[in-house]
Amino acid sequence: MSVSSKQAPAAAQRPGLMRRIVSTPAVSISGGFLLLLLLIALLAPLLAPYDPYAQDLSRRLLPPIGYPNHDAAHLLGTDGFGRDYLSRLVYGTRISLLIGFSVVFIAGLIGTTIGMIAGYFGGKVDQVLMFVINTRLAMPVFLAAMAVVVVFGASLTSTVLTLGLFLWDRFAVVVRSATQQVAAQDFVLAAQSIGFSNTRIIFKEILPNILSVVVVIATLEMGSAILLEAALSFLGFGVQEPTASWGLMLSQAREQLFFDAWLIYLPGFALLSLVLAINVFGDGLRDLLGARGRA
Amino acid sequence: MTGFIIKRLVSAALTILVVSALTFSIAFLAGDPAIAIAGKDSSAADIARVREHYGFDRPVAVQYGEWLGKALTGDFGQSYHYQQSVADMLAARLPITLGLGLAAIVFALAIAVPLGVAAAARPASLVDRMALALSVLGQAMPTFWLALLLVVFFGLNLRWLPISGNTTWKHFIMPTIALGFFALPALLRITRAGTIDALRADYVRTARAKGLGPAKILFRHALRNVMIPLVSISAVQLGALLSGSIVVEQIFALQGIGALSYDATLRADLPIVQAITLIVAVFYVLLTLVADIANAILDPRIRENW
Amino acid sequence: MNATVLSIQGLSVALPEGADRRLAVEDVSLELKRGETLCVVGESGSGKSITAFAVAGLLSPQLTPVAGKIFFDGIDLLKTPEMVMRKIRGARIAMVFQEPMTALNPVLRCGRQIMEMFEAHDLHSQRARKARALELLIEVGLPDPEKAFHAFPHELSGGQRQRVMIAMALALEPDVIIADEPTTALDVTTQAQILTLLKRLREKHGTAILFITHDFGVVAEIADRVVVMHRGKVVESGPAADLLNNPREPYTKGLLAAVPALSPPPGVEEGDSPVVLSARRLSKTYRGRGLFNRRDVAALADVSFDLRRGETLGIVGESGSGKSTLGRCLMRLSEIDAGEIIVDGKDLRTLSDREFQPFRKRMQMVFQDPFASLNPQSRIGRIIADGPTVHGMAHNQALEQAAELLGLVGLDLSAMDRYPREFSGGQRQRIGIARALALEPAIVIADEPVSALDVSVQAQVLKLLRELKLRLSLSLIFITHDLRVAAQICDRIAVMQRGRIVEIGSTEEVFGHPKSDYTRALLAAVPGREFGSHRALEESSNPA
Repeated sequence: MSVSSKQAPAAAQRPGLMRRIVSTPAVSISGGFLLLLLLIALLAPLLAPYDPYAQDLSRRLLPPIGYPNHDAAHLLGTDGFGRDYLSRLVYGTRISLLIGFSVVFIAGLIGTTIGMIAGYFGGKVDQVLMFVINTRLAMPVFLAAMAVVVVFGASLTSTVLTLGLFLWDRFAVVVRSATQQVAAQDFVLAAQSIGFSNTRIIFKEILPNILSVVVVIATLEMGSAILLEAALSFLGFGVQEPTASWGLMLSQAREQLFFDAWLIYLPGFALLSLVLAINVFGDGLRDLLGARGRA
Repeated sequence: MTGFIIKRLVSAALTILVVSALTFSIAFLAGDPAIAIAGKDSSAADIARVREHYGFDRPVAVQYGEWLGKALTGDFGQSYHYQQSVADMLAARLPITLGLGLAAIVFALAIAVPLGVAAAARPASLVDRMALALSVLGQAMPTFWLALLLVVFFGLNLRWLPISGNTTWKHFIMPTIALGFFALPALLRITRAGTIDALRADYVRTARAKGLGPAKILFRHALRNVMIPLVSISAVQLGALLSGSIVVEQIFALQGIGALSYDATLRADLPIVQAITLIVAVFYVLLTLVADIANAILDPRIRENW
Repeated sequence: MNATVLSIQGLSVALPEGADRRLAVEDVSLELKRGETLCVVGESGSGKSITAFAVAGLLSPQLTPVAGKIFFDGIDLLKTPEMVMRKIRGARIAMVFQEPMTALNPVLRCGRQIMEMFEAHDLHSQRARKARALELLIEVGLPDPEKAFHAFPHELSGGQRQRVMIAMALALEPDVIIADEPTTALDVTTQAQILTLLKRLREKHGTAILFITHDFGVVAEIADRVVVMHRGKVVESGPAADLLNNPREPYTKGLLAAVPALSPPPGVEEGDSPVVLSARRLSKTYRGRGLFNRRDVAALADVSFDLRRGETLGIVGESGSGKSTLGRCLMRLSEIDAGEIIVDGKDLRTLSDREFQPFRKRMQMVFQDPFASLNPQSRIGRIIADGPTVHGMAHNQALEQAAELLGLVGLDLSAMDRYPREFSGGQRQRIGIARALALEPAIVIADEPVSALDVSVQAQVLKLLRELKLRLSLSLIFITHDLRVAAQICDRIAVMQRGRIVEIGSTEEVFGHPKSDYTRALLAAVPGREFGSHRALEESSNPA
């Protein structure tokens, strides 16, 4: 009797993940919004009415719709250099999402690896890695990010690298704890008794069982990364002119605070909504996946 | 118990050492400090003289050792740009940052604890939804944006509060609110989740089986167990507030450590940057130690392992 | 003569949506008379605990009583307002829970928690409360009542904690004590002490006890009357002696028939087949952790035994005896500090990891917890086929073999592509057995393989193990704390206590004529000693 090893779909007892995502309003709405922002970022050149870098000093600081002196040519007005605000907002989506994804990718890779190794091997290895994690936690992220930027120069790349190399701590701590719980279960012992190598056990037995936890932390850290980049750019240590980053736009807006306060509402609101959507999505995902610290 | 504390102190000292060494070495990657001090357009001879005066020509390890030795006695050297003792500058500004941090934590706890407990005691009620909304919103809010909005609204439009400087206590209201909102979400979550867990625990069922009323159950049984994670998180949050402080102090022109670190980093004023990093690391380590001790006091099971 | 103190009539409790049935408890009626012990017995999912909690009004919020009445002292508890219920709880109806470690507040001292009973009902002054609490601690048999009074729960042993819980339950001299599996989490010797205590207290105070359990031995030991529940319904009830000896309903008969007897079946010869595994003087010590208070714990001390081909050697002991550690050390999942493990003429301890690899095919393990022993993210086919694949078999061939093994353990071929969560505990244990057999080992070490299963499922899995052992000429090391199971399935028994083997011999000898005091104490502690079936492993008719 021969049995094919074709992957037949498993008869799951609960509806599939996608179905559950769609039927939970918080998750589907925030997820939909994120998809929308992703599309905006990808299609920015098609959606933005003007070139975000095009300056026109004769048309500086025109207010947006609803204010007196509004110019119909620029729906959301212009900034201090006469650049179209709406276009810069649209392009800002790219920066924020790019930062979010790349930082989370780097930090996730580092943190998950450290966490799994510490959690699985325990003992001296764990002590050393915990020391590394604690040392990282003792370093103020912001201060260190500023210092690195001063040394290596401020740019998108240096911001991404710095944040990626700093934000892995939450991954490491949570993955370590999750790995310890999984590794305590008998099926890991069973894998050892069959003769699997440690590497194989870590990647094939443990990783699939902590993936949901990693995904949840990834969404939360993405929000953190985006806010951190915005704050850094706000202080001048992140993305530099003339790139359209929401944080940078806010920093320029601050200079006009006394006269044209409307400049600060829009980019801040954009940041708020993006991170809000990410967090709501992540929280909802966590509830759906039941990944809350393994009750 | 003493054995445990000794081990923690040793590991703490090691951490501080590593952090300060890293900061020290990064500073030297920033290019020749002698040029930074002397100015880019100085002559080679001037630069050489600066180098010799500050001792930059010696090996890095020696410089580090000397700096560390002096730091342990409280001497952090002289600022390159301000011509003052770094220790003096720090001493003048530390109270402001610390004061702001403490005020922010107190503000955050004053909202988080009652709201979190009330939310957990009545799941899915209006209070619960409010608590969730607040924590989700707080987590997504860019602190510096909130600060700017406060400035615009309360400072410029309503003119209720002063928007810069640090002379009166009124100057600290908006910074405290802004920074407090930074710390609030985590504390709110922990309180709410911790209370929910505690109320579901077996020992609460036992308390009900004894005939205890809900008030006694909540306060004597549930909350004592929630305090344990709450204290740890509060201590850690206090440490993290220092980071958020940089932005807030900048916006409200408060002369604290945060604003100083911003200036110093911009100007590559190494002694200040190194000193601040050291201070912050020491603070973090002290705070976690205090949190651990507090936990041991609250949870007798932890004392067992010492 | 004997008045009814608690009467449950037609109780039905609904489960939340999405559960496997609509009602957790359906039309359940039972009567508890003053001063008697009524055992409600059933397997997991029978609804016995839910019935008990419904009486005290302690159901979790998702469970709602939808029909029936619970009469106590003339009032219907289901319709009683919460304020009144609070006065009844603790004072007239008290509870003892299963897990004393989690049922006691970890940050409050035990004495304080007992005093709380008085406080909840506004009785006595503070000093009187303390005095009464100490009296109670003495009455429940704690050797050092002062110490227990000031101790935190984690500083006491499991048995001591349960005595504290019983002291709390007795404090206000209630009419009814509801005990939800109070001895399930305890060692058999501790369990015996607690059962004796309960019997003594019941006689002294005349309290009626509603005792929930799944263990028929316990029922045989303490019950006056018995109610049998199955999937939310009452199947049969009656006086204990009647029900245990002459059950009427087929389900009850099946359940009783599945409980193994404590005396071994006769006629097992001690063979002289060759020795396949020899353990010599195994030792393992866990070093104490504190800096000043280092207590080294000997997990294994000087353990020696031989395993012959085709025999089942039982390793029997309570928690802390070292039996599980022994199993892991034999499989090299833990390292021993000293001693030899000789298989096929080689001392396993001297082998490097690579040299040991082929030996993994000689020895395999079946684990205890069916819910933790299979990777939830892997399909069954892969779980079984992984072992042979790692040892060089072609993937397709391994899958074919996996399918055959599934048939061997009595599972349908469709299981190959499914995930562990779709299977019951008993089925998962079968899968675990199939996995162990995939490498065609000569020796199988089973670490409490049926301890987590209901008694009827247990009988089936044991029957399967025995058949497989005979068919495949396996040698089996069977680790368990359950003496009844050991009596029925093992040829020889080794009794362990605190890391040492205190007695070893054929099952008949060890159970019939124990030489060591400890073995005697262990056997004496098994509840309901005379009770049980010799044919438990042949007749298991109830579906898993």
